Order: sequence, then structure tokens, then C-alpha cells
Amino acid sequence: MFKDTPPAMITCTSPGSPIIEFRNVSFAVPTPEGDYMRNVIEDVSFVIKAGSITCLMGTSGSGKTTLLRLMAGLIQPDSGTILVCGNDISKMKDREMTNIRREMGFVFQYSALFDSMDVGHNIGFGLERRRRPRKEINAVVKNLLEEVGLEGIENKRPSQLSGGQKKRVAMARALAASPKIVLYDEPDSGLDPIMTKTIDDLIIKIRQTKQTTNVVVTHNVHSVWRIADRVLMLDQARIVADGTPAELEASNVEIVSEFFSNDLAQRAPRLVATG
Amino acid sequence: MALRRVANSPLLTPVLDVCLFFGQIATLLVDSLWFIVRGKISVRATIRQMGEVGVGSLLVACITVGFSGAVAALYIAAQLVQYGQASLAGGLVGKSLALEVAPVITAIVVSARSGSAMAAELGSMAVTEQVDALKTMAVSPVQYLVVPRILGAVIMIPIVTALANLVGLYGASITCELGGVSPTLFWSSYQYWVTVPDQMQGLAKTLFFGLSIALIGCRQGLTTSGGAQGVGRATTSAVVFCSMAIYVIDFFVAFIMQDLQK
Repeated sequence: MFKDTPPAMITCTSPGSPIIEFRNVSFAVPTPEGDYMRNVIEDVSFVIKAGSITCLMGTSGSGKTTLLRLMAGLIQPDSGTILVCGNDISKMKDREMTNIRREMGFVFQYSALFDSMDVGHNIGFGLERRRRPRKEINAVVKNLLEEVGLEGIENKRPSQLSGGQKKRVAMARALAASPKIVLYDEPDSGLDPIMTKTIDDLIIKIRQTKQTTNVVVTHNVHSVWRIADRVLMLDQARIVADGTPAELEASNVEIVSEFFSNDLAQRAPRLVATG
Repeated sequence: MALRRVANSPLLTPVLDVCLFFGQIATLLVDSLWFIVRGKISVRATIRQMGEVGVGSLLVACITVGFSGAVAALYIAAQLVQYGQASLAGGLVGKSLALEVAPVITAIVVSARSGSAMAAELGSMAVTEQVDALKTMAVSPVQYLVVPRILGAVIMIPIVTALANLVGLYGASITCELGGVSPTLFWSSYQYWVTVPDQMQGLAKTLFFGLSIALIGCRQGLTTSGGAQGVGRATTSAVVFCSMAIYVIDFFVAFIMQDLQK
């Protein structure tokens, strides 16, 4: 009953080679009435290359966050295969995921900072659990807070932070263990345009300084233009477009062009106002 | 988008829910034992939980068991004095306190106080994705959140029960005196009739009570969904399920132990 299953071994690859791969992945949840299973992800296949920034776009409920949670192994697909660093995580138990999760950082939509800990402990928590020396943890926390522009707030509680500060602390926490993959779930949600740009700049900086592979869920076309090497557009549980931001803007797919043109419409009044 | 029908009938759904509940409790127990057997225990977190369960519940348990003992003694002493059997009062009250009143009332108090707190705390962590955040940091929520709560409850409930039992006995001795049974007679009767195996049987029950309170509280918390409303539902259901579990376990443990004593 208590047989110890060895954690998966990590063999993450060099820049440009596949690091995350989805093969015909489907995932269903019960409808609110509970009498049917609705596919949230349906027969999705794609490959994400190491060192890239990939944006997942789509309307609300199109399956973006579900896709991210599948990548992190927080949920398991009903069918299909998910390879992370060459390991099939689609049927792995939590205990077997340990080594893979150590190579991943996850920035949650609402930050998900631990209320019971101060900022310093939130960031250093993963390292504490790996029994790293206190001196090393303190140095990592200090460096990361400097990197996200929040020096000296180690002793503050999450409840004392603004939305933008929480997001940046969550980013620092995700980076504490030097992961190879960082997953961002709507890092710009609820933030003003200036803070959104700060977060975007941080994502680019993190990729450059730490050579991470980044997957970003976002609704924001401005952010996509700023940060994305590649965009996957989801609609009704399927990927309907895949390419660079420029390729998607030129796309004939209705939902894609609607998405991009709606964003232009939102920008128009401001362009007029600023002359 | 593809839709496929799931089993959904007025009869089948509750059956599946019950199976799911017991399945999740069993999984939580096995996973927790996996960490406990391997010594993967956070001593600091366990001590904190021992404080939460033990210190937090001690006063309430002592007051409730103390007055329960006093009330029981009030009725029993009056009846026994009437029939000239005052020498049985200490034994009768002592046995009922040790075997039933102190363990069950203490467990109910702990479930209302700590079981609900476990469900609320873990529930709010679940709905704000803090439990998922633990997983993504390669930290097992079972090891970090559930194991300390199980150990805290299993270690502290017997201690709280023993102390509450003592308070109950003193409460009983006071009311017995009011009913015409002297304290000397009460305590000598207690010493004669209440044996160490009686005390052990009562305390053994509390180990199962502690385990069930922690498992149910944690299960209800970790499976919470639906925001603040969901946390409220999880908390209420934790207290209801814990109370039911305590009485069911009480019967079966008493039944088995009585059988073993024959």
C-alpha cells in the first residue's frame, strides 16, 4: 500500500527544442446541471519550444486556464498525452510529479499568496521545503524582490499589498527555485495599463536573464504584441489559430479577427483623444 | 463542443456521492499514513495544530464535561440514595464519564471548534488557489496541511478528554454531596468500580474520534469550491459529518471492545 514510486527524471532540453507537447488532449467537466460532460479541451495538439514566450488567447471559458492547469499537472486529461521535458505527465500521480514541478513556476490569476506568511516566507517557501540554508534563501528573496522592483517589503503581509504588488510577489515566488518553465495565468487581470506594461517587461526580462520557457494566458492584445513569440488562439475548446501576433492579426478566422479588431476599437477613442 | 451524458438519477447520485466521500476519506488516510510511516512530518506545524486542537478546546471541553458529570451525578445520586445504594454512586458516574460522556462530549466540542476551523481554513485556501500553489511548488498538501492536523487531533483529544473527565468527576462529587453522598464515599466507590481498562477504553475511542475529525475536516476543506459560499457549506458539513461519525464510531468501538473484554 505504501510503495514508494520514484519521481520522474528531468531531462529538459536546449533552447529551441520541444519542452511541452500536447498530443490529442481532451478534458471534460460536468455541466452546471450535472447531467452532461462538456469538453473544455477537445483534441488539442501543439508543441512549445524551450526559451519561447507563448501566449494563450481566447474568449472567457474557451479553455485557456484549463490548458495551463493541464501543463502544470494540476488536472489530468481524459484522453491524449502531455509531455513535459520528455516525461508523460498525463497519468502521473502527485508524488511522481515532484521533479517536474521543481522545474516549473506558476503565477496564479489572483496571485494565490499564502495569507499566513509574510512576503519573504511566501517567496522562500519552496526553498525552505527543500531544506536550503537560511542565508541562501534570504539572499534569493532579496534578489528577486529587487528584480521585480519591490525591495524591502519582505515583512509585509499579502493583505497589505496592492493587486500589482501581489502579482509581482507571485512572480518572484514562481522564480525562486529557478524553474525552466514559467506558467502565467492572466498576469495582467485587474491591473491598469501601466502596471500591465511593467508585468510584460518583467516577463521579457525573466526570459532574457533566466532563459525560461514562458506560457502566458491573456486577453490583452497589447500584451501579446509586446511579449509573444507565438500565439495559440482557443475557441470552444479547440485551437483555432496558431502563429506569430502578425500572422494572427492577418488571419481570416472569424473569432481571431474579431478579437483583434475589437481591441483596435477599444484603442480608437484613446488615439482620437490623444490626437 | 462534445457533450456526453453522465450517470444522473435521483437514486444513483446520492449513492455515488457517498462512495466518493468514503473514497476520498480513504485516499486521504492512506496518503497521510504514507508520510507518517516515512517520518515526513513537520514538527513545528504539528505542535501548532496540537495547540489549536488542545489548548483551544480545553476550556470548552472542561466546562461541558464538568457540568454533564454534575447533572448525571445529580440524578444518579438521588435515585441511589432512595434505594440505599449510595456506595455505587462514584462507580456509576465514574464509569459513565470515563467510557462515554467525557470522550463523546470532548469529541463533539473539538469537532465543532477544530473540525470546522480545519474545513474553513483549508476551504479558503482551496478556493483562492493556495492549495494548487502548494502543488506547483512540489509541496504535497497532504503532507503540509493534513498530516499535522491528523497528528494534532490524535495526540491532543485523549489529553483533553482525560482532563475534562477529571473536571467532570469533581463536578459529580460536588453534586453527589448535595444529594447525600459524601465525597469520601464517592471517591472510594469510584476507585473500587472504575478500572484502568475502563479509562483506557474511553481514551482509545478518542484516537478514532480525533482521526475522523481531522480527516473529515480536511476532506471537506480540500474539496471546497464555489467561493465564500462554498467555504460556508464546507464548514457546516464538516461539523455535521464529524458529529455523525463520532456517534457511529462510538458504537462500533464500544461494541468491539466489549466483545474483546468477554
